[in-house]
Amino acid sequence: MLYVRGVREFIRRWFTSAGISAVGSTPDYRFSLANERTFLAWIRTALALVGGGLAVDQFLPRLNPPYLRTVLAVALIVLGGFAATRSAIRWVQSERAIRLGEDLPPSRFPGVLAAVLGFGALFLAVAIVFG
Amino acid sequence: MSNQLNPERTDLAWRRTVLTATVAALLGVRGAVVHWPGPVAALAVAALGAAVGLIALVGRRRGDVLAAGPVRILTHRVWITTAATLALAAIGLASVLRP
Repeated sequence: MLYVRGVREFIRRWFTSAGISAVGSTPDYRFSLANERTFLAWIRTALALVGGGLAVDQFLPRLNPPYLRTVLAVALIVLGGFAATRSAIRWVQSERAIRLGEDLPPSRFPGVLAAVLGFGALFLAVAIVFG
Repeated sequence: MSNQLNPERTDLAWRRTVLTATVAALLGVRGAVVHWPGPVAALAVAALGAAVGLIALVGRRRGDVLAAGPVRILTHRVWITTAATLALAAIGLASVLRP
């Protein structure tokens, strides 16, 4: 629900204003470039998740139950899609906060992603050893 | 000193992103060629190439802007890069969920 609201907010802000550069005042360019690099780091994370999903589908041997490989691959790719969308939303939120001189908005996504990947890796290890 | 290196670090971040996209796309190409019939595979390969090409083009243009200075905000390139990444994810998902 929060994710859908974030996407809606991102689209609304993107298309209903002259752009993020119309908000607040122009900050020190180092802040904007740091925000840009953070966006790119998240995009690389998303691409790595997509690549990881494809690698699981193509290179992992058959597991027991047989559909486990497909489930893992789909989960990784979908997670990559979420990470890509979230990276753009986060960039807009951070850029607005920087331009308005506000605190950066908190985010639970890194923690959630770390937890999901940690449990996924544990689950996969168990499936490979006992499956 | 480190202030002057900010644009260069950002340009290098774009290059790393293009390399990561290339690796993901190559895995997608392999999946498409192995699992799909000729015309569909060709279409998928073209779409994957277009997505990576788009990210590379955006990165190249951004690098030029950063090198020329003064530094301008990223704006629409965020949207294009995200859309290209989502396209890669969508094609990858289709190749995994092949009939």
